[in-house]
Amino acid sequence: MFYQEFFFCLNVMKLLPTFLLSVLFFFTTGECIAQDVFGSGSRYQALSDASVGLSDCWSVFGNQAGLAGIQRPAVGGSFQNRFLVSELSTRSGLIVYPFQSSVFAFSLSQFGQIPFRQEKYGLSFARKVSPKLNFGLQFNGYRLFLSEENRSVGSFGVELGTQYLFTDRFVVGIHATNPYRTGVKLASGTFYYPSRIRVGSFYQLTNLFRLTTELENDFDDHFILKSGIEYCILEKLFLRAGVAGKPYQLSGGIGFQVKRLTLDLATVYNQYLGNSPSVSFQYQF
Amino acid sequence: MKRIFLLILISGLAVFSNAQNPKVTQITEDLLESVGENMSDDSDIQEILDDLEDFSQNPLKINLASRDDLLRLHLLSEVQINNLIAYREKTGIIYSLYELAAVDEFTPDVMQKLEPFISFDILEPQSGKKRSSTDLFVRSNRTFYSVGQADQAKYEGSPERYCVRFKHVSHGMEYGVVAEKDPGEAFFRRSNKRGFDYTNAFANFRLGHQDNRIYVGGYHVRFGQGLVAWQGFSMGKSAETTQVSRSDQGIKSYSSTDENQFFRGVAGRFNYRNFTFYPFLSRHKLDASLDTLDGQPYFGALQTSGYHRTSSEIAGENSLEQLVGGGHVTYSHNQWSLGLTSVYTRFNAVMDRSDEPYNQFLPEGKDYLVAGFDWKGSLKKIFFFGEAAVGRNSGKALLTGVMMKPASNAELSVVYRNINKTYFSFFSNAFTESSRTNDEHGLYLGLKVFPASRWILWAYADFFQHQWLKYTTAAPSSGTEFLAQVSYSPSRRTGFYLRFFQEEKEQRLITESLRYNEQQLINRLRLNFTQDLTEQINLKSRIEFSFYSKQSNEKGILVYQDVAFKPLQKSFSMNGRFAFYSTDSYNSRLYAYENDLLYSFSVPALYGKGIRAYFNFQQNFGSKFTLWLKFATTHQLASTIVDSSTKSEVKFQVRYQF
Repeated sequence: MFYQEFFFCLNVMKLLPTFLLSVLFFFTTGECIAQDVFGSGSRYQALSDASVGLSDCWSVFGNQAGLAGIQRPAVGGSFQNRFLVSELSTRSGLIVYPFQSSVFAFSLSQFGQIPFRQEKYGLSFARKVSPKLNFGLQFNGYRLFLSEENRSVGSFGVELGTQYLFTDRFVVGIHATNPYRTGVKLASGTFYYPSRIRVGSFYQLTNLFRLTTELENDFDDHFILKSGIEYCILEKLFLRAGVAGKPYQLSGGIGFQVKRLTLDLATVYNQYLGNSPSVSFQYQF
Repeated sequence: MKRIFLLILISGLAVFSNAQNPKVTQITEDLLESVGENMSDDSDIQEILDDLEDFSQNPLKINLASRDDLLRLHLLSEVQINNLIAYREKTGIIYSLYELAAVDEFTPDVMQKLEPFISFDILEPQSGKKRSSTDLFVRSNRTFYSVGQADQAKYEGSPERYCVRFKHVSHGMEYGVVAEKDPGEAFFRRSNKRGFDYTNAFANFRLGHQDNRIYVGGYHVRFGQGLVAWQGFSMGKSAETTQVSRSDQGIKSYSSTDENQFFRGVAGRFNYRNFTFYPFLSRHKLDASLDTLDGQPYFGALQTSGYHRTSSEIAGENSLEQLVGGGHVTYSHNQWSLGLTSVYTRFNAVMDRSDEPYNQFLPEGKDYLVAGFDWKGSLKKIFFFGEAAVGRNSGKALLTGVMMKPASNAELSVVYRNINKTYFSFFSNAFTESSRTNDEHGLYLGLKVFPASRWILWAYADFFQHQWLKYTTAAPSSGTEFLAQVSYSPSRRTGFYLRFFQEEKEQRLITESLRYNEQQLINRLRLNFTQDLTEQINLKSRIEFSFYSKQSNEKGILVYQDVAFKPLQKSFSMNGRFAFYSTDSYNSRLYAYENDLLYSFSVPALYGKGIRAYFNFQQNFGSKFTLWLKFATTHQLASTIVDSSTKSEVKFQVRYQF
């Protein structure tokens, strides 16, 4: 209802092939810097991905330092239908396993469909350095399918982050992805995976209301400010909203817990390209 | 451009006459500045000033005040009023500010604003005496230019502006008259042989004990959320990011000088059980340029400037008759109220808009009917409000929102509006980006957080879309607007705030062969500092930057220093400003709210490179007679001395109260 109306501009989609090509071009040339195509869970999506201060199993796609607080093993999965175009969808999955005082995690994420598909595998490690300081590290393997040559090329990347807990209610985090640029040489030029650094905070005003903010930079002069709010409106039912810019995005979502299972729904709205709904789950053992 | 500048200048702020407390001035200034920047040209805020001035002299008895009285403070939201009334009902009398602080949503910043306007007195007001006052005021101003004004020769009258208002208020009755001559209009000669170009008489009186009222003469109507009928001033997006709902104000007598935003005729307010009825009927002569086609008179658009200076302006004066009939009914129960509004408008000529594409879906013809349903109320500490309306050509509009307090130190507001491109009401004025309530789809999120004592954080984000073109666009368009502000008050006497504002939207660009939309980005960054140096001297300093980009990049800067001096036990006070500004062009202009004579206010747009200074003086002669003077001058610097120009303005006002 709300969406259908909102996105009259998506009538453009009748010109799907042209649209697709241009969007793909967008991604592949790295013009659209902010777009990390490897999706996180719907909770983070709804909070406009201002996730550097957050801590749950989806921290494998946010700030791995957030994993350090996890006490029980968990699995999770998500699906995002970017701009309602199935060719631009992302599927992700993760396993988190705490072992003694460390936490290990494995994640994978796949974006797009043949003829254009990217994959990312992550192996992460996180632990508490002190009661107030968390540290996280992740090694990534990337794979890019090249349809013309009918082969795929791999490359490696790294992510690292920390979180400092001033109090239980106020956390500051910093996270870097691929501080050394990583890419693949192609006949048409070099394809780079995103490099970025993020600084942000998580502020829990009360047990029911949380505020998260983050500033992202691509190691160049492009900055994105993201912020999100999470409100526990009933027991185990969360409402979320987020705003980010530029490019401007408005996001919103809900989440609910059924025993050990958490389900989240979100949508991210881009003014020109429309909605990207997503759904995710996590199960804690 | 010039017109906007003039309109902003002539719309009317205020140094309070008997405001012995400089804080009152500061509070009003902040309030008006926050709304003034977003005000449309025809808004009128005299009423707010009137009310606040009244309360600064006769503080509102918070224990006895009705909902209507509390609304008249203009400082409390609907939610705060509900909470206060609920608290009063539950615990009885509130004895002090400390106790008031226990009421939900009465945050320290709100309390600080309220303090000068309220009292905890529990005695009934002495009947009649307190509320009875009569005042007469006369105002005049004139602008002088160092380089000749070519336009002046074309005008019928002198460049002075005169304004007179007489008003009597007693317990159950209010009446008065207001008259005005704008600069360039004739006075007791030519087209205005009888004197003032604009006059309006107004009266209202109470019937019985139930606050039933009859209104005669000039009045304005404000119902629901403004989709159907809301005349004059309204709160839009502002630095008070979580105050987004409108409070039904019903009908009020009109004593301002805007010549369009009101009705003339009779109206009433009647209470029956939980219902309140507001019928109204008006016959108002408006300005329009009439033509005839096949013996049928028609007009293209209304002339709303209010100026009647040149022969063409005078030709259109009062040439169109607007007949309006309508009504509103509200049903209130507990903390909920539901309302219905309907307005029928009929002109004595056919409205035939020009063939411009932006007029494509706007109504034409002779008559127009619009109706709306509005609601507001609280459920579990969440305040819901909204209005839905239908007009001709299946024009539909919906505006709905919530205001809540998710944590004791946070407030959150959301407003969603979806207004068709065919929806139109002549008297609408809702919470929208466009000045016209038409063709807009948008979502607004507002947040206010008190992270630690003395710190406050405000933020809003607004996303909006237009499905059809507007006057300023060449195609369907969209945009976003953000505001973030943080304030820190290390003590009661010192305060800082830092504000960032960003607006990005598409605007029309015209080339020889094409008309298309181009992204326009405006950023503004402001640092403001206020300090009460002593009980008698307040200082205010500001530096503000603006950045504009569309086809080219432009920037601007404004720096100013204000000083206000109010000696204790003396009958005079004064304040002044010295400002320097430099902007690349009008696009990177900066606005600065200025103190002015009581009942008038100004937010001039400053652009180019120059210096602006003003000085206000106020003197009380006894308790009845007050005099105000303002002298303002703008010196526009140019590359050569010859091109530099100076524009000075002198304003003068006296008031006699008896």
